[in-house]
Amino acid sequence: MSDTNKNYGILAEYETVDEILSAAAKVRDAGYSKWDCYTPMPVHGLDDAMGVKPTHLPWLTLCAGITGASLGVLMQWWMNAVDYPFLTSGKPQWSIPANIPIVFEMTILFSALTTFFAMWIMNNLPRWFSPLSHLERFARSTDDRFFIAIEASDPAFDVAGSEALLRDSGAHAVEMVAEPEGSATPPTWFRHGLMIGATALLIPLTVIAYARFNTTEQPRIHLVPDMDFQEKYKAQNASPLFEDGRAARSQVAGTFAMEDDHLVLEDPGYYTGKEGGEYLTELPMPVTRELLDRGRQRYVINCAPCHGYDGAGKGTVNERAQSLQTAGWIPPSNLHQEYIAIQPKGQLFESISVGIRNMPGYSSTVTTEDRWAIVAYLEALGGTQESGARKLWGAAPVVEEGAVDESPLVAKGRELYMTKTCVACHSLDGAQGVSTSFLGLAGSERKFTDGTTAIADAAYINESILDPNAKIIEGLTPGLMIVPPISDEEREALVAFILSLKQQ
Amino acid sequence: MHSPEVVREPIMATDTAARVARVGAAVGVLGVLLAVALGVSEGDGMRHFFWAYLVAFAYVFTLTLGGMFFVLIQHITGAKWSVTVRRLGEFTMNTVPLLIVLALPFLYPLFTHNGVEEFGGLLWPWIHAHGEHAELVEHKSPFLNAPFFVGRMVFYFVIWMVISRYFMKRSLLQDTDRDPAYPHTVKMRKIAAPSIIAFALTISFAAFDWLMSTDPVWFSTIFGVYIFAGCVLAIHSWIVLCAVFLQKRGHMTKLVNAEHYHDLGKFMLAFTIFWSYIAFSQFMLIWYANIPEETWWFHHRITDAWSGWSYMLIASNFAIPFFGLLSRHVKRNKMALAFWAAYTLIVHFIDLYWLVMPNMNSEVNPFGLMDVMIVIGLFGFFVFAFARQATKNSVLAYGDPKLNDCVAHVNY
Repeated sequence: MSDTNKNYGILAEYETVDEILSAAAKVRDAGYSKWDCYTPMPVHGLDDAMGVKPTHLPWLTLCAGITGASLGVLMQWWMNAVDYPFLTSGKPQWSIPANIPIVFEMTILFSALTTFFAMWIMNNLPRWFSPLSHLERFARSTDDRFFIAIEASDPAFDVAGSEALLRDSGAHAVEMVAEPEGSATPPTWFRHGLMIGATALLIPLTVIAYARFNTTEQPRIHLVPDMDFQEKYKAQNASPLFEDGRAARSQVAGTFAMEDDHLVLEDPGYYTGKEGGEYLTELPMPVTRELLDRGRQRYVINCAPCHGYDGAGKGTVNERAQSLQTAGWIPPSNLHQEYIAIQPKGQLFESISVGIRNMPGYSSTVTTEDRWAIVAYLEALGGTQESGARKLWGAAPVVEEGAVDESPLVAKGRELYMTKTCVACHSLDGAQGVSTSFLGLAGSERKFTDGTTAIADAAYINESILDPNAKIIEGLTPGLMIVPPISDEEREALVAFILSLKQQ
Repeated sequence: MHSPEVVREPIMATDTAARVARVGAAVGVLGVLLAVALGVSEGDGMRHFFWAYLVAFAYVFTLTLGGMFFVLIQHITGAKWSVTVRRLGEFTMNTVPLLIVLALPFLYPLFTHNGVEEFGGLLWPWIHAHGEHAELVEHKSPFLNAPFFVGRMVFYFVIWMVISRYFMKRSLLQDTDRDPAYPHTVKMRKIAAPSIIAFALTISFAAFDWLMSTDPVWFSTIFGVYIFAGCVLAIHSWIVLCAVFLQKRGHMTKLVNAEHYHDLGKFMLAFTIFWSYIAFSQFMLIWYANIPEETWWFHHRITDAWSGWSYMLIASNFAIPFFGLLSRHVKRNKMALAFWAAYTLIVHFIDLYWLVMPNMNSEVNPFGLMDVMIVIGLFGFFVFAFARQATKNSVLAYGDPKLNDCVAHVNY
């Protein structure tokens, strides 16, 4: 007991909270610095009795919180506005309100983790070893006894004096704590295990780094298959749920985007492309450099995926569908075809707004101004083409009345054939396009999917226009043709035109 | 733990309370008279006055209802820390009769044709639905009509009267009852549970009725929670101010110490954050969804005339008090905490003004002396109704079984 070098320190045992509080105050006043109290539960006022200085932990938490918040803003600015700008819900690419939830979480994350780990470090935790835990008496520190231990390394420590102090303070028992034999360091297997574990942690990082800078032919690993392959309809998918077999629903007839509701009545030309039932032939606004730039930008975002950057109908969506040989795929129109090039500007605007054939309307996703900008850009795009369409863009319709020797009714039918866009699917040269060519249609025998046949007479053609899906010709996909929005007189003219193409 | 037993005797602040009540009444009368005079001089048929009156009414209403929540939550949780200040919450809660009196002037805009219909009426625009959204508002008339509106108002007041009277009476009975089973405390804990449900529903619908319907087209389901956040913030600040004032006058000097102020301060900080959280949640969903029928409410507030006020709100009601109240030392220093309590009560008005007034006029911010006078006036009446109770009753719930625990309470 006299050799302090071999002592870890001295331990005193108390039975109540009040005892340890008064004893701690005495030890504090005696000027010790390397000592501690061990209690089975938190004791109010013990830090005061021990003279523990206020902790600096809150400052660390505050700094970590501010760091987390700043990093949160910085990260989102970098990701959303710089590294990978991607338009979401029409919001600015770097938008503070959208950042706030992430900033909030980052603040909490940084302050919580910092507080947690800093508290461990400031308390010298984790500790492998405490000489006190070898004492049988000390086991009750987690149950119903309170202890004070003064370490022998404390400069104020002296065996007799410290023991007397603790006995005076009301200790029920005082015990010298010997420095245990052997090393206080963790066993070898533990240290080696720790090193192996730490090295193993590098493996995922290595794999990530490898994958980041290499390419592979293998398909990716699907960790969450039901997220990667969701049971859902995508645009252009077929669905048995609806009568027309299409999953994408078109806009309800007679509806328009909300922003325009009362404005449509004030300026129908601008909002619908039609003024008094007639399509506008010119844009309702001056064509400026800004408008064309805007139009190109909107075209590239909304139209180019299908129609291609040059408007020739060879966008990536189409290329992909062709390579997959998707059944029933209707290729997007070449926008430089004659029948499109001669359309009045208002009609192009209407097609973009409400959709046409299997193209959906864009009035809900592209603003009115932007749709006009796209129309303006289309004309500029047409001007880049070497084909005849270059001349057509902006020119008067080439199918002039009386250009061909035919009755006025048939001539009107020919015009409707162009303007009502029959031309998109039905050719006049006998070539099978998306659907049957009109050349030689009249009088020929048609074979239907149900095995029946019919001669294509006026009644049949009339029926096919009024109810395109009543009878489906073998080899064609049902549901593709829409009932053209034409009057009875116009239908009469169209039928006359088709009948005039009867092959002699 | 080792504190001596607290002597269970009433703490009467009779003289102080009587003086405060007199000052409150005088401020109330002067404030309201001046506000009425200023309102008349504006020559808009008292329209601005009634809107400003609604803001001031909301201010007193949130304080009173905050008091009710404070009392209920202490009972339902069996809280020990708050026993010495709970009576202050009870006095606050018990000013419901004043609220009823202050609600009477609303009958005028509700039931008269007052010649300013074309500006959206004197107060709630649905009373005389007018303008481009008249048809939409018409569809809401089964709920938003004057007789049903008044009926609901009476219903809320009845509920609040019952709750506040009950808890006040029981608490006073507990003061003198020495039954070791503490029947009143046990009873109050039981009744607090259904009461808090009634409180949550009535305060939400009262907030919808009185404040949200100032824009009858707009709706937000979180609106009641937003008002509730303001209530809780206001009551903790108010209790801090009352306790500091009483201690300055030599009452309860040993009964409320740094530990209790620390806890009150924690609630002020927590509900500053909660208010911001709810305010942002409301904004975030509407901003993100970007549905025109919801967005315009914020559009009014973050553009043109009101944008300054809105950005000020972020600083005054979140950033400044957040950093101000963050430190433990501030919360344990009663004068520092009293400063932040007064600050919080002032910015609570800024919040309510922002909530209501842009619905009166989205193009002009009419803030002026009258808006301030009317809220000071009604607050004066509130102080009168509050302090008058302290002239007759102990400011300490001295019969509470947890009184000793409360005084010995220590924060970790």
